[in-house]
Amino acid sequence: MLEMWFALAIFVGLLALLAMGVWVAVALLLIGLVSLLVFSNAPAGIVLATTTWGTMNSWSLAALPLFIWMGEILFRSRLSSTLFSGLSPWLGGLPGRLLHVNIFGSAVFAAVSGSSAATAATIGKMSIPELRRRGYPERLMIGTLAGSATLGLLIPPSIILIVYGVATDQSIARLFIAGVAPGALLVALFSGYVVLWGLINRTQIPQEARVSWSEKFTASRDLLPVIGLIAGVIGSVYAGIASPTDAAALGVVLALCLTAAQGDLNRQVFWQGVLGTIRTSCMIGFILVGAGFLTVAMGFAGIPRMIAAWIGELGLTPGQLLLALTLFFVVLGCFLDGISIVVLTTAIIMPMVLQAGIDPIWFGIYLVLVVEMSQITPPVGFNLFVLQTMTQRNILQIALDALPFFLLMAAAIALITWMPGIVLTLPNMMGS
Amino acid sequence: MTEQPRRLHRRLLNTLYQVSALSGALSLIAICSVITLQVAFNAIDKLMLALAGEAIGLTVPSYSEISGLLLASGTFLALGYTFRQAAHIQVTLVLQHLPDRAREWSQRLSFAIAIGMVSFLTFYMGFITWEAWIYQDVTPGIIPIPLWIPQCSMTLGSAILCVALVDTACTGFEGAPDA
Repeated sequence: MLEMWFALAIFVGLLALLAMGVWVAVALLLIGLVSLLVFSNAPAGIVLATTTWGTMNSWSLAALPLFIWMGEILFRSRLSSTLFSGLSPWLGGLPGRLLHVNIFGSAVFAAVSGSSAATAATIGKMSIPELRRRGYPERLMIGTLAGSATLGLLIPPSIILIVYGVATDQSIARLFIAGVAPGALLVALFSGYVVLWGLINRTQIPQEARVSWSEKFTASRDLLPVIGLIAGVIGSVYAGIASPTDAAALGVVLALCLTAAQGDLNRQVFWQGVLGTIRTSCMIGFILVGAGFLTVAMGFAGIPRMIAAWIGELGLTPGQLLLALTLFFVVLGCFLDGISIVVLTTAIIMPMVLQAGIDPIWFGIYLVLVVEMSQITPPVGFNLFVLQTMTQRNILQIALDALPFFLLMAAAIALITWMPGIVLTLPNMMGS
Repeated sequence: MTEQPRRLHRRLLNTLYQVSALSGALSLIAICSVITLQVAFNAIDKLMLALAGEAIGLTVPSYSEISGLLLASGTFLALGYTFRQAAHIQVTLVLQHLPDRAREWSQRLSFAIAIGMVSFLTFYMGFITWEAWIYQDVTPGIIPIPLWIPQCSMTLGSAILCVALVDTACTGFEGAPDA
C-alpha cells in the first residue's frame, strides 16, 4: 500500500509541475529522474541518455514529421475552397443541406492532416463565410464544424495515434486501420443528427438550387486528385505494400506535386511549411523523449507491477475501469492538451489497462475518442479556440453549440465498448 | 556593457537559432528524399520483375537506419529554434490566474528547472557520445554508421536548447528571429 502512495505522489508532483508552467517535456523528464533516483539504484544519467537516443532513433517515428509536413503543405494549398465547391453540389439535396459540407469536408481533410485545429481552420476558412452568406443557422454551423474537425485526430494519418503507437510500442499501421471504421461511425452519427435536425426544422434551412449530374462532376473535378492521394496513402498501408513511414514520404512528394501543378507552390510557401513542420514535430518529439524516459523510470521503480497488482485486488471489471478512466480523462482534458494526455496515460495508466485484459489497439482508439471530446470542452479545447478566432463569438457559446456533438461522441464510445468489433475487425483482417 | 558588443552577441545568438532551424529543415528534407528514393527503387524493381522477369535488386542500403539517425539528430538540432518560437507546450491555465508577483516567481522557477534538467541531459548525451567514440559503436545493417556522429548532433542540439533557455530567461522572447 505504501508504494501506491508513492505512485500517487509522483502523479500529483507531475500535475503540480505542469500547473506551475514547466514545459511538458521537462516536467516528464524531471519526474522520471526523481522516481529513478528514489526507487532504484540504476545510473540515472546514463539511463536518461540511452532512453533519449532509443526513443528518437526510430524508423516508425519518422512517419511523424512526414505526415505533419504533408498536412502543412495541403493546409497552405487551395484545398479548402476545392473541398467546399466540390462537395456542396453533392450534399445540397440532403435534409440539413450544406451543413453536411462541414462534416464530410472535415472527414476528407482529416485524412490528409493529423491535426484537428488545422482541420477546423481549413474547413472553416471557406465554409463559415459561405454558410453565413446563405443564412444557415449559426448554432449548427459552429457545432458541426467544432465536432467534425475532431475527426482529424481519428481518421488516419493521425498524429496522435503515431504518438500512442510509438509510446506504447504498438503497430502504427494497425492503429491507423483501426481508426477507419470508428471515424466512419462518427461521420454517420454527426450526419444523421444534422439530417434529423433538418427534417424537424425545415424552415430554418435555406433552399439550394438543383444541380445536374454533369455539373456535379465538373464541380468536384478538382477534388479527385486529393481523393486519389488519400486512397493511395491509406490503401498502401492497409494492403501492406508500404509501411506508414514509406506512405508518409510518398504523401509529401505527391502533395508537393499536386500543389505545384495547381500553381500554389512557391519558395516562401515551401519554407513556411517546412518550418511549421519542424516546430510541431520537434515539440512532439521532445515530449515523447520525456514520456519514454518516464515509462522506463516507472519500470525500474516497479510501479507498473504494483498498479497492476492493485487493480487485480480491486477486482474491477473492464467496464467499470473504463468508466472510471473516461471520467478521469474528461477532467484531465479540461486543462491538458491531447498529446500530453496520451503520453501520461502510456507511462502510468497502460499497466492497469493491460492487467484488465483490454486490447491495446482498441484502447488507443478509445483514448483518441476521449481526447476528441476534450477538444471541444472548455476551458482548454483547442477547436474552441480556433473557432472563437474565426467566428468572433464567446467561447462558452461555441462550447454549447458543440454539446450535441460531444454527446454523439460519448455515444460512439459506448458503441465501440459494446461492440469492440467496430474497432478491431479491420486491423485483424490485415496481413501481418 | 557598451551597445556594440551587446548587439554582436544578439546577432550571434540569432544566427545560432537560424542554424538550428536550418539543420532541422535539411534533416527533414533528407529523410523524405531517402525514403522516396527507396520507394521508387522498389517500384522499379517490381516493374522489372514483371516486365523482364528479373529484379535488379535496387535499394538504398540501410535506408531505415539512416532515416532514424536523421530524425534523431534533426529533431534535437532544431530544439533551440523551436523553443525560441515558443512552440514547446506548457500549461498556462493556472499561470493566467496568478497575481503578477507569483507568476513571475513561478516562471523563474520553471526556467531554473528546465535549465538544470536540460544541462543534465546534455552532459549525459555527451557522455554516451564519448563512449560510442571510445568503443567504436556502429549501427547494425549493411552500412555500419558510427553512432557518435548522430549522438554528437543530439548533444549539440541539447546544448543549443540550453543556450536558448538561458538566453530567454535573461532577455525574454524579444529579439527572437522571425523565421
